[in-house]
Amino acid sequence: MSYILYIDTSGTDSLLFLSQDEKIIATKTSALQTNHSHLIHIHLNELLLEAGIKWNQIHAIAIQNGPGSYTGLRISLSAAKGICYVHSIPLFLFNYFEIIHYCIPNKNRPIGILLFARENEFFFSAYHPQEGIIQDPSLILISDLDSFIEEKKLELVTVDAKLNAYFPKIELIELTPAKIAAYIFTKISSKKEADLFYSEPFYLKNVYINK
Amino acid sequence: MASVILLAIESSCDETSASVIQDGQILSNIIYTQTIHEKYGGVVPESASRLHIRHILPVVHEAFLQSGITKEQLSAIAYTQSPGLIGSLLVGASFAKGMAQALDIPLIAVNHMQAHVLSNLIDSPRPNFPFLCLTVSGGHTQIVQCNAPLDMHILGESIDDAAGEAFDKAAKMLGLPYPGGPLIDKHAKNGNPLAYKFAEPLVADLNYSFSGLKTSILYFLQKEKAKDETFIEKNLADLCASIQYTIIKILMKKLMLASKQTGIKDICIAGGVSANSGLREAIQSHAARYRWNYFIPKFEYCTDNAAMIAITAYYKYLQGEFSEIADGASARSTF
Repeated sequence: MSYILYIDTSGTDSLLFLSQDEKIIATKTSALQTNHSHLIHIHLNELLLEAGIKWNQIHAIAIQNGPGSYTGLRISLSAAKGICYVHSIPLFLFNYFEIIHYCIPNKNRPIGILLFARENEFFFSAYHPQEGIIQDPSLILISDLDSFIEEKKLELVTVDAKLNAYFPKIELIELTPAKIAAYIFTKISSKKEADLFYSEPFYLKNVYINK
Repeated sequence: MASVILLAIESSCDETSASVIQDGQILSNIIYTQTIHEKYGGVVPESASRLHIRHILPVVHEAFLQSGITKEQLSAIAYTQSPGLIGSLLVGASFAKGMAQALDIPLIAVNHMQAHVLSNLIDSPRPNFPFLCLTVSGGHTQIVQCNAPLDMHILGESIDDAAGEAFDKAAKMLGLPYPGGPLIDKHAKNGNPLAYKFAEPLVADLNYSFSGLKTSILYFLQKEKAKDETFIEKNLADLCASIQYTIIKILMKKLMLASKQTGIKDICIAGGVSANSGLREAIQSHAARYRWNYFIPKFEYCTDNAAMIAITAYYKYLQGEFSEIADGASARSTF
């Protein structure tokens, strides 16, 4: 049996949990994005206290590594790097799309997963029941999306209610900590450990600068 | 008494730095300088944050290796809390907090500007208290009276641009690449400092202003270039020498006044611009004339570095000034 710590500060709501294998034993959430940098460390201490374990008993740290708020992604990864470095704990990075895809109830259909980037820009990835990933995670403009959806006959899925305004037929699914914990536990034995020293958030967007 | 061993992390702008200090002696001071900003003529905040998270662990690891200290020997971990670019500060703060809570040791939050002043306490000879410190960097210009390591107050500061910013922006007007301050210093060595006269500010008390000087340089260059397109090229050394002379004259005028008003003759300089050879010569010549004892930190302690965070944290540790894990980084603050 192994203890896995999961951290997600990529959006408005944060989610931290401690699981023993796939079973969640303690959870902390917050709905105030501006407080992620303060609360994450308080919540980490509370999780361990609640579970009655010490840092050196953690077997792995899993991070939801993007896409999402750049600052939010760096807060969780920086904290995790510090903890993993001290106790030589392996770090595993999960992109948001793979977690969302696992949590979709009916996957026997072509699916396009959309996340909000900014006005008229979306993070997008597509899956086919037989072919697997048919569109790697990417940044896409709303104007480029229609033809792709039609061509691949995609049904759109998201976790963000804001997208209803752009895509009235989009399916909104809920990610529960239990589902996420199940996915992390399933994947962690086969997933490659992250490069602790040089790993970066999965920004999916470059910095554009006008000189 | 057991040794006090601290790890300090600095990430307030475009340098990722880590230092290990034992009983007030710096054992390592690793600095990774981000050069990507050179092509944009200034620091791009998002790029700076991205480079901090990429380099923070290699820099910290190297600081441990060079010091011969292990993580388990640490008494506390210090980080730059403010002021600075918030995205950059958060990387250092979050990493430091993660390490400190995993080791179950205290955290020490350090003010970057206070640390610049205390960089003068890293090596001998050290100034006696009270001393005055002129802190000049790309972001700040301050005259600080330091009565004890953790007892200092600002006597005067820039009400607009910093002196370092004036150097860099003047350099940009002259067509020199970023950061232009060191290049102005280089060309000034071959020029006449009295060749051109630029506006000097009339600011009350011990405060500074550099925005008027910047405008004065801009209008002067526009006027001369209208007459001769190659004016800058032909007169670069004289222009650099005159600009540098004017900035340093402004800086020294208020520093002399501060010394006169307080009666303090132990005078220090700190910050990135303290590497400027013209400023160093001015401090030396004023020291000789006004019987000052002057102190200038080693170059690696002038620019942004973690050793100055470490020395400040050392004094805070001795005073039991620890921070809470919930304390946040802040872009703006004073001490």
